[in-house]
Amino acid sequence: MINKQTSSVLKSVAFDEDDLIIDPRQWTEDIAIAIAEKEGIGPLGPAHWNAIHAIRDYYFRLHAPPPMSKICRDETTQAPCVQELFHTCLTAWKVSGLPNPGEEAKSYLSATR
Amino acid sequence: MATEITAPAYRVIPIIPALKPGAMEGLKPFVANEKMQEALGFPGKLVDDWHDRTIAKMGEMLGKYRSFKVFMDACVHCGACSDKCHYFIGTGDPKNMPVARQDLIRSVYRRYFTLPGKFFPKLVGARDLTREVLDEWYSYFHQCSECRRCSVFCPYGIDTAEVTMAARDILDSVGYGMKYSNEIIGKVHKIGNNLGLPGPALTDTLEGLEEDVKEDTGIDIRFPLDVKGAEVLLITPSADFFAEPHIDSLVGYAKVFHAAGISWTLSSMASEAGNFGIFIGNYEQLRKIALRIREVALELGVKRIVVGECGHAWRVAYSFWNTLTGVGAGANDPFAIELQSQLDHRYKQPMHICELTWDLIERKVITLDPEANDKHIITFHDSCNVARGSGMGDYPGGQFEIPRNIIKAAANKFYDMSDATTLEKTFCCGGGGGLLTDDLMELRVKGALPRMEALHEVVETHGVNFLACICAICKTQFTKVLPYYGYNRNMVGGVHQLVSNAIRLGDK
Repeated sequence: MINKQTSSVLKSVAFDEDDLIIDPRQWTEDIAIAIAEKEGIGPLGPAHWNAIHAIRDYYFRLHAPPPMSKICRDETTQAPCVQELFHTCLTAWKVSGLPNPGEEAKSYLSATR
Repeated sequence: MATEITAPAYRVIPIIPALKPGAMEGLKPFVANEKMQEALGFPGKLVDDWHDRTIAKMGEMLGKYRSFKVFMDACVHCGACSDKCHYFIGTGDPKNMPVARQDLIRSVYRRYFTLPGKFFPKLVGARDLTREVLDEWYSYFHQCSECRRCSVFCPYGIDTAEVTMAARDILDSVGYGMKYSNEIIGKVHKIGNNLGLPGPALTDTLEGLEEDVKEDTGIDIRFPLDVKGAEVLLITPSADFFAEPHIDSLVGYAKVFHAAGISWTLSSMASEAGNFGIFIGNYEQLRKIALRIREVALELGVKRIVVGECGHAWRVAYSFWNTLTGVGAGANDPFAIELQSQLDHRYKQPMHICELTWDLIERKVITLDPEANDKHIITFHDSCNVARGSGMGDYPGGQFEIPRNIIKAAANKFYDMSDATTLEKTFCCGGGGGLLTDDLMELRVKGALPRMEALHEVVETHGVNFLACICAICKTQFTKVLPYYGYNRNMVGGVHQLVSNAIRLGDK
């Protein structure tokens, strides 16, 4: 069950049929916390935030999901593997407030560890 | 004197699953939305006159494809195919028997295109096309991975995959397309690959790989992109740029080219070997996707075209590229003729990466140290489209031997799975044919059963811990379903991942 506050935060932005945010610029850290709660992830710690920011930076630079191993290996984020933190890379993508990456990318990103 | 009596060994009794009528009824992938449909030139949603247009399209296809008509007429319901389908074995749903699945459309064929069916429909199992029938087609023709295992056992050689492809083509033509495949095809037209990775993202990934490989090996191995005048254009599934374990095979290809001193390039515009046009049975889409590769080959002036580890892509390349694009002889439009004169015909065109690597190993151009893979006890999964839809080398069965030869050169411990499940009788991974979507996860898990049983057997008897594949879909499907069967997803890997581990690198 998600609480009232979470559900009101989630109502403030638009999601598509696959529960992915439509406009990534509307994303805030509060929204990330709310999505994470809805997805059963959390609480979000420093490692989660590092991964979220790395994924968002990559997206705004290159407009695609990064090869997930790259985020894990990236020394600047110090983050352990995304799948360990978020269960699947797709959940990390959702929490990071990024738009639908497409059918094939979703199918690949949703692999569990 | 007492004679020692020994009981004969148990025979392997084929287990035909108990029928579970309706088990998978109503299971269907998401329907494509208007935008996705229209991007491919299909009606946005189910047209009002779907009934008449479905029958008209069927008539058109029966006239155009003699094979389709023969497959509609020839089946005698002998049942040889019935228990050969992984989806039937895994689900027990009788409509997943290949014969029964085909009869969903054959019954309509009889009603509208045969004399007895027009006059005495009940006597000949003919039925009217209703909305329920159309929905049933959508559901069950998306529970076939077009793997063609059943066709191996059909005494009439009916190619069930073609029946599925025809049904999907008809559905698209009346505005009832599948979201997964059609969205992906749109992405290829727009961005150049199934995953939607734009050029700058590819550059970033490839540069990252160069750094990683340098760190691992101390050697500068290039991952060139869009290089004019390179000898080889490598066309590989976009998953190789993105997913694990796929990316490890890409590293393997690069090391092979490096060690052999062959100049090569990838392309940002043709950054996809996969061709979902075949999955939806649509010739125009199949051709349009394939033509991107020709355009790039002409632009870059390459002499050879090599295809990476991707099952259906190799079937399309091996069996259809010649007439579709002029890679190989057959097409006779000016661009195809230009490409044919540009390519170096001392080499096979196109060539599978396994053919290239094995030839280099045989000629001792590259050297492998099999001890490097000693921690891996390996088995090999024959991909359906490679096994039953293509070939390798210049002799029958090369597509079975060549990948195994490479594995045996790259590693010391290799064990095949049961011969009822390998070579031309290989079982589909459960996710091929455009079904690799999470909408169909239940089907994918259940359909993997026969392959998982065969894998389990070699795990028990030989301690196998590495399932080698040469297909992006197989790799992804297995990484997803192995955990359901109690195995670690990390046991999946590519053949060129093993090559990557074992290849001796010198600076050339």
